[in-house]
Amino acid sequence: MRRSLLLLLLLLSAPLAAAQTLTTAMGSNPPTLDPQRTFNGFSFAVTTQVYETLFRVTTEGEVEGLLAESWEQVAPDRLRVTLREGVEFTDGTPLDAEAVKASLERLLDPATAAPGRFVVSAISAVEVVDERTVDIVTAEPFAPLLAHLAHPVTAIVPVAHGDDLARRPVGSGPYVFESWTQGDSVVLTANEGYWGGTPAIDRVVYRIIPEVSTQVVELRSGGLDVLFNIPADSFRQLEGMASLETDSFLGWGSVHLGFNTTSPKLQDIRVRQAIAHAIDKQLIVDELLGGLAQVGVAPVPPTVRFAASDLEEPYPYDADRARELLAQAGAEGLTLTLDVYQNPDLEAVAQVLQAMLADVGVTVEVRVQEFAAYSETLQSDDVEMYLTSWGTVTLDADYTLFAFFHSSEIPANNASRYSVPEVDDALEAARATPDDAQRERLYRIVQERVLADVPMVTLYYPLSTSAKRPALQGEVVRFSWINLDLRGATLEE
Amino acid sequence: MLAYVVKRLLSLVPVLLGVVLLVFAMLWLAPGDPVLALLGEGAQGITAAQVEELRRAYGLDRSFPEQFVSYLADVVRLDLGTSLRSSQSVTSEVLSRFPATLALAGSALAIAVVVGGLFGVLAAVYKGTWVDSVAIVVALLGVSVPVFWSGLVLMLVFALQLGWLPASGSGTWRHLIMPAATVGFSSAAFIARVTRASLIEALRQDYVRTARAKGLPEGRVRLKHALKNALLPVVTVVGLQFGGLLGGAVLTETVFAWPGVGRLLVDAITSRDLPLVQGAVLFVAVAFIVVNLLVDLSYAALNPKVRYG
Repeated sequence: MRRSLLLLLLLLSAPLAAAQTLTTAMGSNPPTLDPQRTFNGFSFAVTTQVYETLFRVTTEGEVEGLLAESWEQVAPDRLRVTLREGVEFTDGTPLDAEAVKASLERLLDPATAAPGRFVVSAISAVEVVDERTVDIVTAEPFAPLLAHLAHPVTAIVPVAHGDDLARRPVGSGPYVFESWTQGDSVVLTANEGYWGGTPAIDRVVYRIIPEVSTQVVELRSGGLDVLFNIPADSFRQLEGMASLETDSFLGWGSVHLGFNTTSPKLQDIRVRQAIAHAIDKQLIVDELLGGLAQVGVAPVPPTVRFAASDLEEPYPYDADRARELLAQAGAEGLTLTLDVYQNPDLEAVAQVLQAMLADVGVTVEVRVQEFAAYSETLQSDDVEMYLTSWGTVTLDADYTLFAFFHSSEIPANNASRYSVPEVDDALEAARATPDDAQRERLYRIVQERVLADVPMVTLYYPLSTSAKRPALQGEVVRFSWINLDLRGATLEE
Repeated sequence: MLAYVVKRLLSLVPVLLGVVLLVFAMLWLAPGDPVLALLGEGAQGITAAQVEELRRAYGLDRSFPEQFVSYLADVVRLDLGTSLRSSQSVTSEVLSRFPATLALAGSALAIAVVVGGLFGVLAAVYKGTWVDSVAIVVALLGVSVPVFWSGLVLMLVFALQLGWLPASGSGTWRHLIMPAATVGFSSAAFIARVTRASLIEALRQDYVRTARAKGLPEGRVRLKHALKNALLPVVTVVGLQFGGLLGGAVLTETVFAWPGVGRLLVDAITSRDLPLVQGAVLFVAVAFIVVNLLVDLSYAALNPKVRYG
């Protein structure tokens, strides 16, 4: 009797002593936990813990294998991937070549209605070579393929679970789904059979807290261990607290002022150059964003592969020069609309731009809409200037440069309606060659040309922020909080 | 009485039809493409053709009458459809949030009735004295202070400074206290004002004078004779407040991270999740109508002169 009581006590106390639960917050209930059926950051934040992709991008910006052990470009349009041996989904089924084929085909199948299908639209077929080897075939040679196969939407899912994945995700990642209380929290537990070893933190709780001030109170009162994406004013407040560690780092984001280059008012390059000269980017970064950004020049931030980050600002802040150019172009008394979507930061930037442009004699009417309405406006010919916040989520320059500046992307992503045959050629050539040095050279040509032509002005690269209790150590955030890697993390009290 | 209830329930049909049509038309006319909203800020890199393909997959390429009729046909079969962003059934999405909303609405209303009723009665009985003035000022504050401010103040005091209550979230009764108090006090203020006005009115009535003339104790006169008669408008207000709360106290839910229907609806609207918006609004409308029916039926209990036919 006494022995069994002792045993019971031991059983009860052992897990309690060792239990490490990490609690963090996110701003909205993830719509689904099926990574293929969403393009939502809150969904991805959870799915990247539960599922795994073939590849991933390291903090140094290099592509490395995750489920892929090795890979080889056996033909310009054929990537041969050898999978890590013995990996299983947490339901016990093997994650083999058949599983990879089935998963990617599900993502590609129009019936799945995957919002992120475009990420893999270059893929034309997936072929099983043997149990551990799979060929991924593209219709055309597609150099950034590895980076695309690192995107969370390409996570390998056990297709047999079908629609159940949305509410009961099953993957091969370091964490296993435990529960989801709608609108309240998602709970994950460590995957005991994880191929990379069981993570030290055995539970992860994502609490859904929409209000930032509430998130901050929770962090300060010990209800959260770590918090991401904190706005500047709250971040400065947390920075001064001894009980917390804060960090800010460059992610994959960039914010741009775009011009509709086909608009009669903006066709003249001198007008666009004048507007570029009228903008004091440093002032925006220092005063408006509280220093939580880096002044931008190249269209992609330095974290992105092939970013030409050493390029000089061709149009430094110079109000006199701006007035001069406007006079030369005969564009005095110019009135322009600036489209922006509901977002506190962007709306504030829009107002500052309005004031800066007013200073050189350009009247700006700011039009704020919901994101969906704004997106629609950008596709219409009604657009003149627009503010856009962009993420190079694959961390390969192709993702942004092709979308922004290739003529085939007009008007969906290329809302500047920028069409230059040399740029189109360079972008296509860079996609077709697997040679990194060659790609580097081609993307540099594109970025130089774009800076000269000013279809848009890259204003700044926002910094991501985090604040945590010092007890949390060893976590890795790869460019964005959705890529939180807890595999080597501990939470020692 | 039964005939009355059946008649009232039947009148639900045109009302709900109106609600469905109105919401459908509003969402249709509102700017913003559901597919683009679904993709959100992060989905750059998609081409127009791919957007079109998604629109077809979601059945959004059909005309307004086509979509409306097919939706209506589903609703009649009690099928509220599938959410665009979660690919879950709308009914299950709404039902998963309803218990939290019901708990918040119920406890907030309890606080509101107790506090508001007490303040209202005190203010009426001591009309013109300092008690009345204090009650009126407190009620005015309750109505005018925005909940996102009072909620945050409560949180700073009780969670951060004193550490008595969890700052936000749900799960235990301790989580419920602050949001319920926040919503409860703003409703209480309204109830207090109506109770006060109605009781003052009742205290002026002839039957009160008669009761006093008969030599009944003042307490009995006020509570039994005056208050009972003064309750009719109060019950109406309480019913309306409860019906409103069932639609979700969006601001309070947001501040306290309370997983109710209100936040679900707001999320659904911003992501243009048409089936989910429709379903949630329909659900809330039914709840509101049912509560009001119950209120109407309660009149008979309070005032025997009320007859249903």
